[in-house]
Amino acid sequence: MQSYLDRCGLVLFVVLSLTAYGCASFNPRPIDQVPFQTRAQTQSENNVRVTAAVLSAQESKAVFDLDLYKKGIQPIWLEIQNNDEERVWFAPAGVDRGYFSPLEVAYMHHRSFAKETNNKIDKYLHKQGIRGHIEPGTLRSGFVFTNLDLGTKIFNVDLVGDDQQIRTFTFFISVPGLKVSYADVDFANLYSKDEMVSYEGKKDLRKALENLPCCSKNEDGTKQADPLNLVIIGNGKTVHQALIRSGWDETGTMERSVAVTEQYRYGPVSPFYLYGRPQDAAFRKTREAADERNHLRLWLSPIRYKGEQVWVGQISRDIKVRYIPNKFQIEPLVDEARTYILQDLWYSQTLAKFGYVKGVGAASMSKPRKTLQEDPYFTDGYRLVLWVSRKPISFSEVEALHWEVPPFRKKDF
Amino acid sequence: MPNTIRICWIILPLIFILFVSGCATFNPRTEEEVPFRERAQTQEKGNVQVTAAVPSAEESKRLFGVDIYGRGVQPIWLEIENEDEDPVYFLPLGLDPNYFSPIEAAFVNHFGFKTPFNEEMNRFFYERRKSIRIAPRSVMSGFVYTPVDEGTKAFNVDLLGEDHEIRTFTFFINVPGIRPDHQDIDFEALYPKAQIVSYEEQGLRKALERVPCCTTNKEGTEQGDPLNLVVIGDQDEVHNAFIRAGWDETEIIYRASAWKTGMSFLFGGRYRYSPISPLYVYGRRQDVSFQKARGTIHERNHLRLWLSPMRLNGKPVWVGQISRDIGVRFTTKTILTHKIDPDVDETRDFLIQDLWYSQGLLKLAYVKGVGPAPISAPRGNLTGDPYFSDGLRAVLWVSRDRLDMEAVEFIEWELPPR
Repeated sequence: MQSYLDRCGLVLFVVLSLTAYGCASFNPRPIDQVPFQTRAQTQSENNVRVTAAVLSAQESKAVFDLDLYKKGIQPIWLEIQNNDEERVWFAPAGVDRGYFSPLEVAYMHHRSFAKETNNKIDKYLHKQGIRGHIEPGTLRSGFVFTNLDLGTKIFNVDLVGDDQQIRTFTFFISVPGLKVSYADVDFANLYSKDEMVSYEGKKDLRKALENLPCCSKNEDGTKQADPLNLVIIGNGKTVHQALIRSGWDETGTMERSVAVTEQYRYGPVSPFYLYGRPQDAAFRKTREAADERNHLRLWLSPIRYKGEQVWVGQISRDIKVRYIPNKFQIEPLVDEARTYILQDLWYSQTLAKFGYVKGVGAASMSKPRKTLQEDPYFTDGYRLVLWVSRKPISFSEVEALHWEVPPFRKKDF
Repeated sequence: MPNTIRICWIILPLIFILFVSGCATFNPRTEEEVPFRERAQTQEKGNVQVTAAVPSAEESKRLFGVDIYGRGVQPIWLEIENEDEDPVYFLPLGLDPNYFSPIEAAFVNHFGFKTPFNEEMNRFFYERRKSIRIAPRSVMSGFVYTPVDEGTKAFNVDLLGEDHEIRTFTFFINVPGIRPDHQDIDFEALYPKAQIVSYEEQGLRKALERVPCCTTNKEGTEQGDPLNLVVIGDQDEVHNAFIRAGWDETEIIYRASAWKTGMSFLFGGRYRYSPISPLYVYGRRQDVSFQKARGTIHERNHLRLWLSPMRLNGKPVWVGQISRDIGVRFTTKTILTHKIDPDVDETRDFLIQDLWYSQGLLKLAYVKGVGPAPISAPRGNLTGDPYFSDGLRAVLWVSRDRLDMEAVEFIEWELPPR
């Protein structure tokens, strides 16, 4: 019996030391051997230059020898060159208020029975972090560990000078890995020159928008889907940046699967049809749970207004989501989601102008219309027209067009 | 045997029927029957007056006929009185970016199967919503549905005028239901008058350098986490600055809070008001503590504050400690404990940014007093966690009202090395 126990102990010891040995390698690659910096973007303002790059899943693995994406961590590499005469302070919380501290990231990847390796991981990550102040005439670089975003990542790098002046650098960086909803859409060739209609006057535009179909359709065009309750005016990049700036996420495509853990934020949006094709782009804003999301589908229309693109869209708020079978239900008062995006763009200072036009057709709470999934919805029948802007617009600068009297301005709404 | 099965088949549907009729009642009370408005607060700006009240979990249950807190929805009652010539518009997004639309709020509370009550509930929630437009010389009231915050609910009521200017009313409203740690402390009576010491700025710097380096255990025989924080402001200002920056209050330990902590510890939940272990300064445990939850109960920031006998030009001076929990760890003393980020300066500097971004920071400085501990020779806290530090403590002047981010003053007493 005694010898049996002995042997057991010996075997255990051997197994343990093997496990420890197996896990205990930590081989980060030197940063200049991983070519993520080729995708870096640079901005300058008042003698300060900031360069930023977002590492993909593979690059993070190579640089840190840790599977950071799996834990929801996304490293951003920053290089700050201070050519000013005063020092500047860098605030990582401005990049992401819920950032991970370097040693926290290290601790999340600690391994059992590997004190040496864990110390190595700690030291390495601590060294790679960037924070504090940058003296005049010096260059600092390092990583900030942020919460994972796919698609397009937006973040600010805020630098505070000794004179309390804040320099804000806003980056929009596309993260490799997610195939976004509009990846295969050739926007330049969607319409031939003859199909395009240009308007210079507001009256003509209004008419054209009123004449758009009330609703999107199913694939063979036999059934009506959700109402087209939104129009956005602005060129592609401006619209994209306005939505990303307001916290909307990109969505994936049907062809390439999105990881299960990322489904609720980035999973593809089911197709509705307009102009004989599914939406050109779709965005989503997720709140706490999958049942609490807003969806936005956009089609580039053949209409141009003063040279700017006119996007026709549909916005709705999910209140129930089932993956099996794939089914969802939208908030029956669809106008709620429309009012939401108006406020959302207004607060994120990307809204220049707005107005309401007819075209959807009213449906009351007692006589609702039906979505594709046979769920009821009701609406006041207006569609919201939004002009977005690239430069920030303050609250009081937003212009309201007096087309239809917006429903919330009516007395007994 | 077949007999038992048959009885079973009779009893099961019976239980089911009882259960169904038991829960599927929808009996909301009127606002007059539930006196939550006794706690309402009113603010006035120009010709507009806003009154706000937050019903507790219990009150909401009676008001709406369903346990709406249990489903993650907290109603806020608003009354807006517009004595102006022009209408004003209420923006729910300014109150909470994750607000629920009325029917959505009703939907999450629907019973799991079709009942006539669901339709009724939709209508009920919808009819009680807060109207967006408030006509000139009129009063409107109703509910806005938001995610749940216990302890203190902080929110803005943004009203948009015809000129597209925004008028913001900021509310901090106490929600009955949890037992925050500071509620039983009589701050006025903590120190007799003779013990209070008043300073000017330079004198305070010297005094702060002499504050002990660290917290201790109850007996004062062992050193705990470093006192790396000084906050200057009266109780209200400190409370509001932290609440607005998204910090939560902490419950005292009692049966319900211990149960909730245990459950979230085991199942990785997110009990935001979990009690915090005591550390000691001035011979007593912390007076107030706040925490900021992130993903799980193991990832959160903690801070503890003690009211000191020092005053700066009449303002109370609080001594504090902040640390970042990064995981769980086994110890010989307490079996399980939270592991803190050994880089305690990183956590301290996070707080500075956090208050700065939430526009609650007025002035900022660093003073000596903690004593440096290099990364190669770390010190240990009470649970044996190592930490290292540049030896400085952050001094933060906080404000109740929002401040311009570019107006924050840095007093150059000390400069941290990195």
